[in-house]
Amino acid sequence: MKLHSCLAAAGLLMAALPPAIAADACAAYKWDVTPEVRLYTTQPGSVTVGATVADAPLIDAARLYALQLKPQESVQYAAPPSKKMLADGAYGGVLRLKVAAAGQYRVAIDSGFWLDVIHDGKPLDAADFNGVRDCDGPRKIVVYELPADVELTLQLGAAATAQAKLTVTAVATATP
Amino acid sequence: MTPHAQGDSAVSAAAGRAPFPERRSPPAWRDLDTETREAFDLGLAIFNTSWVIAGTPNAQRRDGLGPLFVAASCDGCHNNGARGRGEPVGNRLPNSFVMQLGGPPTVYGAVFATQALPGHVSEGRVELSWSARDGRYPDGEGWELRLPEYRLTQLAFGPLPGDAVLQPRIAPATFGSGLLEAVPHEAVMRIRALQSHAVRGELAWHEDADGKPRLGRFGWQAQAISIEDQTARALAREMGLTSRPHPQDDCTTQQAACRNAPQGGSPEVSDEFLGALVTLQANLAVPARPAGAAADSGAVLFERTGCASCHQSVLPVDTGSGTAIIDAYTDLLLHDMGEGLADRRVDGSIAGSQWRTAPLWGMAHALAGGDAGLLHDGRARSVEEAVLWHDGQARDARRAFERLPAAERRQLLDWVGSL
Repeated sequence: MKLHSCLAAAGLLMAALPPAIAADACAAYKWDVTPEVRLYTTQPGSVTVGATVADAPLIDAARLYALQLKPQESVQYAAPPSKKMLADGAYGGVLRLKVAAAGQYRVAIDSGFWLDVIHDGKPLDAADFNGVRDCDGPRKIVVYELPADVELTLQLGAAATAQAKLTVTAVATATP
Repeated sequence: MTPHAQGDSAVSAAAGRAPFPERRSPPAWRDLDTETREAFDLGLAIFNTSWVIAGTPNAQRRDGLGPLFVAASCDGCHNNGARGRGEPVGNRLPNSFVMQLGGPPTVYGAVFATQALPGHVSEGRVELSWSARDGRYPDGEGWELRLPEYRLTQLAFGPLPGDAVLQPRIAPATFGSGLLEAVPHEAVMRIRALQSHAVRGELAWHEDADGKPRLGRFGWQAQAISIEDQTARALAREMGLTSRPHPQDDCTTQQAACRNAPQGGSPEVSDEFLGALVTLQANLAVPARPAGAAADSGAVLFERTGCASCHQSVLPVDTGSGTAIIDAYTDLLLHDMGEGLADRRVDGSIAGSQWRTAPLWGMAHALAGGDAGLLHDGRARSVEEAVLWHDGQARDARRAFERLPAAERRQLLDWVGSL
């Protein structure tokens, strides 16, 4: 069987698009995602996810992170992922997150990871979500209602790529 | 409703229904033994999982996606087993949308693949725009519909011929599939015989692998004879995944790069995995009607207007150990629904207007998400819009609905929305 390049095996499913088309594609989100798209053009901070909550790094809102993920079978989640999926060949990990102000936040990622935000040992229900495959930047955004000053756990899993870029942005800062 | 134990021959007026406390973990409609439960759970995990490129390390069970495809997972379109999400506003194409292709074979195959693996080029893009259509009920109240217009662009293999048929589709719900499969075809034939000439539906007969006639009952036009048939088709055509019943994906002979792409095994979906997906769908319950469901006066109106002639509330189901009754609100027959809903060829001519009566059970669950896309292409944003699109053999029923006083129209719509 022919082996693919690392890029292909990482599971990036879209061929590259010309920048103009990719930028237009982001307009297909149901909300204005200009803040997220802008963040995705900035220099990311490199972060290796934790395999447990104990070794999970703390991330901030309004920053772009380039995540290095771990084989999912090595990850011990704070709570079972809220959607049953196979973990064959999958990567995942755990991050910690705390926001200063309560409200809605968008967790935006450039690949198809399953996302859960854990609070008090349980996954929070998503307030909304949307995905645009062609967007050059965030390709999946999940909106959560987050409490202030509470350490939360952000869990990722089920995607066959060891790298991902992620942002957390407050919805209130979005351009209307 | 308490799911029946296997072997229980009791008859229930709402067999197959169960509460859905968690959308992402739809329940089974009956008690499952250990082996079936394991297959059900495995099927749900497979349903939710994105398939990956052939050769992905440690992913041999779930590799072989594409190279041309529409979605990477069943759930990508089928939305936790519920009907696909629509897009109430704007010109966004729903994520649950697929453009199937009919008519004489073309280089594009049976499905227009809008996604491709790295190193391949998708077959193109689908652009959607809407035109408004408005009118008034006889009592003066206004209504508005939206008519979709599709444009296929960036065609990678040249233009489609004029006689190619565009078949826009949104994913139907998979709830209750096992019960629909268990409706004896004789019962469907009896229903048809009792329908008046004006609304009498057609039986969608197809041949199985042994050449025997089987009744089509799955898919918007009843093109699939069984859950396995429907599942294998979708895996092959929309995800590029081969299976024993469907050993060829949608790569055509003119698409050399597609046909020569590495495979994730032969077949790519193992018998175990296909069986688990079938077990899942065969046992998926239908959401129970919500507490405080709309008054039965709506049911009376549903009957009086003629809606119930096709959207049958009582279907017998052979459970293998007795008979049960389901309230699927379908006759599993094909009906002419008029030009407005017809598929069209690339040259604009009408290609086909026959549709399997869509089951209405689970409608409350579909509407609760706030983004239901009703009818075959998701154009209808509400039950009212879906009703107003009814034409052809359903024209008289639609007109009877239109002539109702506004309060009764609302009662009927609320009742349908509570199913």
